[in-house]
Amino acid sequence: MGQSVATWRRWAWLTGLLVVPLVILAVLVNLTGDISWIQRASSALILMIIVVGLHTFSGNSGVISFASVAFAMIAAYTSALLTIPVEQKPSLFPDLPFFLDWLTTVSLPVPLGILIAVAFTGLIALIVGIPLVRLSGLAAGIGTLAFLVVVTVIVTKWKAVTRGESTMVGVPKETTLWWAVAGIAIAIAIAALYQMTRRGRRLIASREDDKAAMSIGISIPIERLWGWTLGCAIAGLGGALYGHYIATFSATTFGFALTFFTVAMLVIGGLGSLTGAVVGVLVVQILAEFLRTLETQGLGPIPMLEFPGLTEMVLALIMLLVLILRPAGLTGGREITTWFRRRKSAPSDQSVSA
Amino acid sequence: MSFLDLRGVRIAYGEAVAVQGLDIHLDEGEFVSLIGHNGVGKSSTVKAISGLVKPTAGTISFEGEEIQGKDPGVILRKGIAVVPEGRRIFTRLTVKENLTVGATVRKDRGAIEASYRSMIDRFPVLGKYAGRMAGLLSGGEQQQLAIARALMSEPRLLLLDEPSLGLAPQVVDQVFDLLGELRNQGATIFLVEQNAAQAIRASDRYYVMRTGGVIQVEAKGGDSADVSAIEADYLHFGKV
Ligand SMILES: Nc1ncnc2c1ncn2[C@@H]1O[C@H](COP(=O)(O)OP(=O)(O)OP(=O)(O)O)[C@@H](O)[C@H]1O
Ligand SMILES: [Mg+2]
Repeated sequence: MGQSVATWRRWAWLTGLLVVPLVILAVLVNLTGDISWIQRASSALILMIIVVGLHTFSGNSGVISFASVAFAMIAAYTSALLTIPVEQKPSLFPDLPFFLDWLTTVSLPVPLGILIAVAFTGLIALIVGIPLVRLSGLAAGIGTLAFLVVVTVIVTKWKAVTRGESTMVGVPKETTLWWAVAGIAIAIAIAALYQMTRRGRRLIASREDDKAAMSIGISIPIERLWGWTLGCAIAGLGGALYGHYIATFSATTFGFALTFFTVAMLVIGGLGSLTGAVVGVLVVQILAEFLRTLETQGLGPIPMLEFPGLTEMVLALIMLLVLILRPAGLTGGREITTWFRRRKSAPSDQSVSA
Repeated sequence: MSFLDLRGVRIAYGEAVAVQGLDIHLDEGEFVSLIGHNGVGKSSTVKAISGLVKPTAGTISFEGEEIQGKDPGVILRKGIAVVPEGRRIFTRLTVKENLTVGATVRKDRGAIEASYRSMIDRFPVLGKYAGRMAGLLSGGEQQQLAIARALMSEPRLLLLDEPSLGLAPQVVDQVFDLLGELRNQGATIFLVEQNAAQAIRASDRYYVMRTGGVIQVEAKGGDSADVSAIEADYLHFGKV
């Protein structure tokens, strides 16, 4: 890639500082042997992959996207179709269109299915990205939301391929906690690398000052298309892993609720840094867990709150508060590495940054 | 054929006409200044040359080829770089990254690295803070970075929009020294300034712009220029 040694060193630090704590967390959770905790940790890590994908585009470009869950959905269905055992396919998909007939004869190993699903998702992202990345601000929000609606409608209506409103069944349930750990490690490593290379830096520059970026020859649509395609493919990795984790799913699994959660996580953690994506997922997930416990069984001395939807409402409120009080999120849009560097060189920095 | 030639350039923002009937020309190797008060259309002129705004009439030719209305990236690739008003460095990138993104239009990695080396030779403070976020630099350092970033594209014509704005007098002197040095090395420079006296002394020729884009004066600059006369004339309209 021709990156300098210093770049590789910074990449290793950022990746390590984010991945190692997650691995430790996973090991600890696994040690408890508590199935429900292992499940929660697995789904949190898978969700984190989708949020890292969202960050890769929105965090670096400053353009909001509501479409990452749509790409997660595309990948989940693609990988499912490629990996469901051959014996089950005739009964599950009796009316496959002729150009997909070959699907009845293939049942790929899950890792290969995921890989192809991710590549396919990236291709779709590249194609729809060509018009979509030209939008920004409100138009980008509406455009990506429209895409989510389109994908949802296709998945719900195209019964022959997606089973419509019936759930997808027979999907090999292979994603474990360790798969999720591997997935998030890959996602973080790729996202960190991208944002440190020249390409990523150009996108970040265009986010800060589009006119200045244009005047030094940065092609904003091209840089956004790179970030978009990569980010959607990462979201696809999360979606495919999720499909093989829950094994039965439908379009509603990947709907507005999940979209809201992923965007809220990124905003609360801090739009603009990979650390923000990771922190946002952890904070929101822990908070949601706590609220859900309150909602369903009460917690210690606190009685059960008969208040369905409490979790979503509180999260929405927190997101609003963060947007108003701390628009750069909990991390302030900073990477964990700058925090370490700052402390290390604090004396010499003070005179300048004070 | 002039190196850069603006003929009858008109720039309007919707109904509001910012510049009209503007004629300016530069020869290769010349240092030309454009001075004028707030709001006369100096920045609009720079933006029109660099492609950030499209002139509504007139032609802008660079080495005989019309470039008006072309995209900024295209114009930059032809060899015109701009140091924008207010510096506009990327505060969230490091100093080094600001310089390397400045070379976006170049392909040869080795040559870009060589340019970077020569840039930190010329601006030692940028080398000293290479790994620091550019937003932490002082105003004068940021201005050096903005100029260095523009130079990273190896332009043949450098446009500068009020590089002295907001800088302490000694730092302004440094900036002008640097421009003089660049000129002596053969760079072609088009400088927009409100700091009339210094701009005039530094340049080979200068234009005075008045509201509506009418050029009242085109005169020889340099150390011998009769700055007092133009200053008197200029002061008549407000502060220098
Ligand atoms: N984007 C814009 N939309 C509308 N009007 C604009 C825009 N940019 C500039 N103008 C107007 O055009 C005129 C010229 O502006 P310009 O920025 O070119 O002036 P200037 O000579 O650079 O001023 P200054 O010395 O203050 O930088 C002003 O009246 C300004 O209000
Ligand atoms: Mg101006």
